[in-house]
Amino acid sequence: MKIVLAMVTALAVTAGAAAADETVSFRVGYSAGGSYDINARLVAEFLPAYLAEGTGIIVENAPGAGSLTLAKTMMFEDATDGTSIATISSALALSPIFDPESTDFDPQKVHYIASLSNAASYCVAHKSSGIETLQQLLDSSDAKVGATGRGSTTYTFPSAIKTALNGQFEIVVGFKGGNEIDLAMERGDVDVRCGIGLNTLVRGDALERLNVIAEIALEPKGEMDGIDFALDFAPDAETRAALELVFASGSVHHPVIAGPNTTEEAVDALRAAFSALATDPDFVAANEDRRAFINITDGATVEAIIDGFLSAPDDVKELARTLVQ
Amino acid sequence: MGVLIEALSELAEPLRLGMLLLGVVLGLVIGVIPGLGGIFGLTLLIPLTYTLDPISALALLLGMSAVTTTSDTIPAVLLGVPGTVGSAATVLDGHEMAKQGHAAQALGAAYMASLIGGVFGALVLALSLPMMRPLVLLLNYGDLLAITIFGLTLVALLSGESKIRGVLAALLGVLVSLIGLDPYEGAERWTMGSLYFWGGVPTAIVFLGLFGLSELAALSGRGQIQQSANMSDPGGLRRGMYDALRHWRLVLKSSAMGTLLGAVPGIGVTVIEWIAYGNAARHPGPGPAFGKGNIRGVIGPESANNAKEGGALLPTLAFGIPGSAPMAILLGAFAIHGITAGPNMLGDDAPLLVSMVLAVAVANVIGAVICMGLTPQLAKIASIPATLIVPVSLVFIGLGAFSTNKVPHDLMVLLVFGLLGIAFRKSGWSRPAFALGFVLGPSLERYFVLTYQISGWNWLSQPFVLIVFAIIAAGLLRRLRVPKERTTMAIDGSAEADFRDGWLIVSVMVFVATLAVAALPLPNAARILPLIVCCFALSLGFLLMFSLWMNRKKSEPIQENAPTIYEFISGPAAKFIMTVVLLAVLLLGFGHLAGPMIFILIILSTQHAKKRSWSPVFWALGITAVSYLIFDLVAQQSWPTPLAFKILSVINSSLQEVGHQLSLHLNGIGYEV
Repeated sequence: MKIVLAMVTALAVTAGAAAADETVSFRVGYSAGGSYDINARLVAEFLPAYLAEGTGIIVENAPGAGSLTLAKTMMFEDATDGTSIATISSALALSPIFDPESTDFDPQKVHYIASLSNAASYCVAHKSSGIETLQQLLDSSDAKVGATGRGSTTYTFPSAIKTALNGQFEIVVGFKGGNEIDLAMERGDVDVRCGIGLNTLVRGDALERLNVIAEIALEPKGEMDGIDFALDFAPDAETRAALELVFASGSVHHPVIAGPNTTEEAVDALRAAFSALATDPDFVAANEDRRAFINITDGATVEAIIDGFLSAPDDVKELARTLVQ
Repeated sequence: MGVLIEALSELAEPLRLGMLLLGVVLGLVIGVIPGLGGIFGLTLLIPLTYTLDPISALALLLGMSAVTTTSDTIPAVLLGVPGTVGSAATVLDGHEMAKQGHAAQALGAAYMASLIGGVFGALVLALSLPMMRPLVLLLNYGDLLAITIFGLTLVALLSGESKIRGVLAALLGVLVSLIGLDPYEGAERWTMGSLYFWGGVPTAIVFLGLFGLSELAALSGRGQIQQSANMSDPGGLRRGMYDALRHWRLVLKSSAMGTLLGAVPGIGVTVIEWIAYGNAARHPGPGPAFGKGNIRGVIGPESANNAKEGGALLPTLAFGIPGSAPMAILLGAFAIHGITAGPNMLGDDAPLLVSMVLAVAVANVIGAVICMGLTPQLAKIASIPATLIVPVSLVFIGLGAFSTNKVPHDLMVLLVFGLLGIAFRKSGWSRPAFALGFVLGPSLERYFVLTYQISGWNWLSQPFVLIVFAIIAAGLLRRLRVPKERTTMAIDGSAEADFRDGWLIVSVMVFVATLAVAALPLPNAARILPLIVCCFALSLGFLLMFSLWMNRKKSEPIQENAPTIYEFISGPAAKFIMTVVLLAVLLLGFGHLAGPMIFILIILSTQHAKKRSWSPVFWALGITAVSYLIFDLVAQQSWPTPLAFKILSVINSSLQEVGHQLSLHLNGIGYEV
């Protein structure tokens, strides 16, 4: 009798916990402490004001496979009411181009709610290397560029630059993260790192130790003066178009997605909340204070940008694939 | 001196001291609960720091992160379950001491070692502030590769008398650690097509299974933690503290190791504590062998894992480059409070910098003192019956593992490594050797890949590398010259051959051969190390089988109670594993609250079947309340929908659909519904 009573209580506890679920789960495809995590936590602090009354947000880290694990999970997400969102690698939006055989994640099936950054990425060289411009990097056969894995922008950006612009430098692959590359630059083990964002560059006294040698974006962002714009070095229109595809993920950086089953109403509500957040004065102030550099682009625009890249001519896609191999 | 006094007076303000104390208490609680760790605590606390001044905020965060490796010793010693990944090595001798009735002594030694290690790390940090940049840049990849190789040679010391089995276990550990994407090509290696394994097998779950489950399995067979109910250990705590002071050389050496390696990004606490443990095993001193309750096996890793905090702060403060995830979070907190890391901190921010150093040191002292104060009560856990402590511990191990990714794979990995731990333990195979191979395998591959790309073979002529290799060579020569030297590790029993664990050798060889075949199609860079390791492992396996066959007539058991395959699959271990399976099924079926509640009810009610007692119900409700407090209120998480609810939801939808169809049908034939 007492077991039955306790089991009923147990089920009631679980059912109660499930019924009382008025929270949005905001999962981050990377470990705590990284820029994806910091941005998600900042958003989660201010977004509830624009969701249905009483709705809270919990941020959870679900790292794995460069966020592909989480992206795949989101493809099968049950929640239809917008209570489950995630931030994943922007590069996954272009997986049909760069990894056509993979069917783990379809960027055209999930709903893009917003992207949290469209800032440029940069290539930086340690001052002790003597490299001050992109051309110097391209001409240097001694220079070493540090990279994490072959799927990350720390590899794809310099690889595309090397192949497309006939660079002589070497790429050293296998670092565990950007921080490790930074320390390797300090030691002189490598000279250059690509795919670094402004939020990292303003950390500590990095700009006193590093030369910013190239801006990687689809158009100059003007965040820093006098920096070589990588696309300007493209020898012809086709190569430029292929490089644009490689660099494209930066224009929809830190995307926030909801699963394919999410209803139109829920998607609209979430998109409206993010759009309202973009102009929230408290959020804007906190964003500035914490040097997060969040710049929200609405989900409809993000989806249009991604569709544009995915419909690029086949020969350009093929060339882009070759550049990053 | 002026800066020190200013920093002291600033930290001594009541709010700041209060925050430090709060951080320490939270850190101690987090350290005790298996599966949680410093990162969890920091993400929890960061939002609380928004409204605090910088010193209060950093006191709270550093106070928390400095002491998780102090309290994680408590479950490691008392239950054999590592509280965080940083205390797995402490399980071996610490828990063994608890079994012998010396829990308080082991805890006293651990706290004192943690205290000295933590303060040492803070002191090194303070002394190195003026030259922190050169210090951080001291070791390059060639040096790190040499240290990793040195770490692997310690396997010989952790293998017990059956060296071949020990080395085989270590190679198996290396192979398991290589599961995932390789660091150079990014090729999928032995992932079985599952994204879950892309990032490797989760270390925390491996250790929970290998040490936690296997110790609980042994405990359930023993009846209680202490081998005798009447063991009392008056003055044990004081004796343990004195032990740590007596072994001051080991404490300082391990602390220096922890601080130095802690400053290297990518080297986590797991690597540090196992290298410190292996290093301590080089000079076991008088008393029991390592693995049989040697106090140095507790002091070494506990000094190192607390000292690493001071080292980890170095690159964060020197360059603004975080050496670990907790440091990245801390750096985020710097940004929130407008603090810019770097040598500039030595200027206007010097009092803040010194306050941080003091916070780490004071937190370690407070943490150790609180733990010491609680020890007399905690030590009584050692006499609680296993019938209660095993299911309760199992619930927290299960929840800790499941909260890692919240997918069924978490529980499967736990189960697999639980089985491996039990098999190793019962058959006298060295779990420490496996652990050392497991934590050092990825470093070996990554540092070799990086070193080779950066400096080719020139790394072999680097001065530090030559010194490390000379130490390795001297150690090996010493062992060759003194073949009958007293063994340092007593994980195994006799070195003589015995066919009782033949099934385990064959299983390992089949597993290794399967891995070798699966590695063949991989790109060269991704398969070289795995294939070399596989070849070594298979050769050792054959050697072992050959030696068993040759010595079959004069064989002595390798471990007195080593089970045969039949005994293994039909004995108490199998019953224990079925209990874990039951917990896993209930967790998946009914969720993280109701699942453990039903589990406790079933297990305790079965044990109290003849008594009319409400105690199972109270325990079940108590466990559920604690789980709810931790996983739903304090650290809110989105747990997956339990399978039972999914099934009910499907049945409900089907019934509604049937009802709808039925009403349409009835309407069609003229009935109003």
